[in-house]
Amino acid sequence: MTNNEATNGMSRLDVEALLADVLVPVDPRPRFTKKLRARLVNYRGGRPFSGWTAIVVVASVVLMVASLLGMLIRFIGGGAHLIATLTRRQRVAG
Amino acid sequence: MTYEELDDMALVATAPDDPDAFGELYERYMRKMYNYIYYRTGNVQDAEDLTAKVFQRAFRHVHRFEDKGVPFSAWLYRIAHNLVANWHRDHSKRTMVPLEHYHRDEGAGIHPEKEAIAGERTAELLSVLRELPEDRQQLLILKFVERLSNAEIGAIMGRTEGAVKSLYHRTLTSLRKQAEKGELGNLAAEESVSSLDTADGVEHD
Repeated sequence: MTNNEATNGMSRLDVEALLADVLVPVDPRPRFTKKLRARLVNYRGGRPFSGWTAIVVVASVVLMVASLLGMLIRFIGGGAHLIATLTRRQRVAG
Repeated sequence: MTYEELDDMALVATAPDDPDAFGELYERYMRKMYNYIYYRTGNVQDAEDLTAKVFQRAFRHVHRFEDKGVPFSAWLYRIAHNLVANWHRDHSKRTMVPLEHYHRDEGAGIHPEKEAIAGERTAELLSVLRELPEDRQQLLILKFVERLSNAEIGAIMGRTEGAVKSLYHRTLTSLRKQAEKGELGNLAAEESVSSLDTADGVEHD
């Protein structure tokens, strides 16, 4: 049996012709191509956390927590002062 | 000397410290990786995700690449192959190629009915191909989509040229057997009609 001899109407050449017809190069979306290149080349690998990024993130979190704690202490101090003032006034009035 | 003039190995040597050298490698192989992954996964979204992963992984490990006679493209295909294998493990239910995303170079001016039939035929054949063992799928993609020679395919797949030739022969035989079972029967009939149309000059004026 030769390569080109038909088997149930389909020879080796038919199979190759079908494959050549179907398996054709496809183009990715240009937007995807550009974005991925930018991530890899312009932003150096597109890694979510480089060493410096991690340091910046940790420093920012520490600063934010310190600011929030400072604000909280000021609110608590202010509230205590207000209560003390009101209590004193009541006592003086009484 | 521009990046375009440098060969892969020269670019690989400078890529860890020079993003533009990696950019040139990206330009050379991005479409090849995308095509390979697209035909292995069957959908655009996963092809894009996995292509991005291939290049991110390559970027991180390019400094480890050693020239042992294996081309850089083989190394990239190996990464893509592993990622696709993981993807198949995670997605037991395989998806079909959505026809709306299947862009072909040809087809402009074809009658809509014929285009629809061609679309069905394409989807049918792709589903048959996706049932083949992984190495056979890889071989067919490299041979028909990338138009690589048996020697080049052998370098990528880590086989001899003779082994590739033999695998190709067995793959075609297996597809012909599927035709005998009737799984490709409709395709065969349509292929014959299409051939006749082409011969008569109906399809391509």
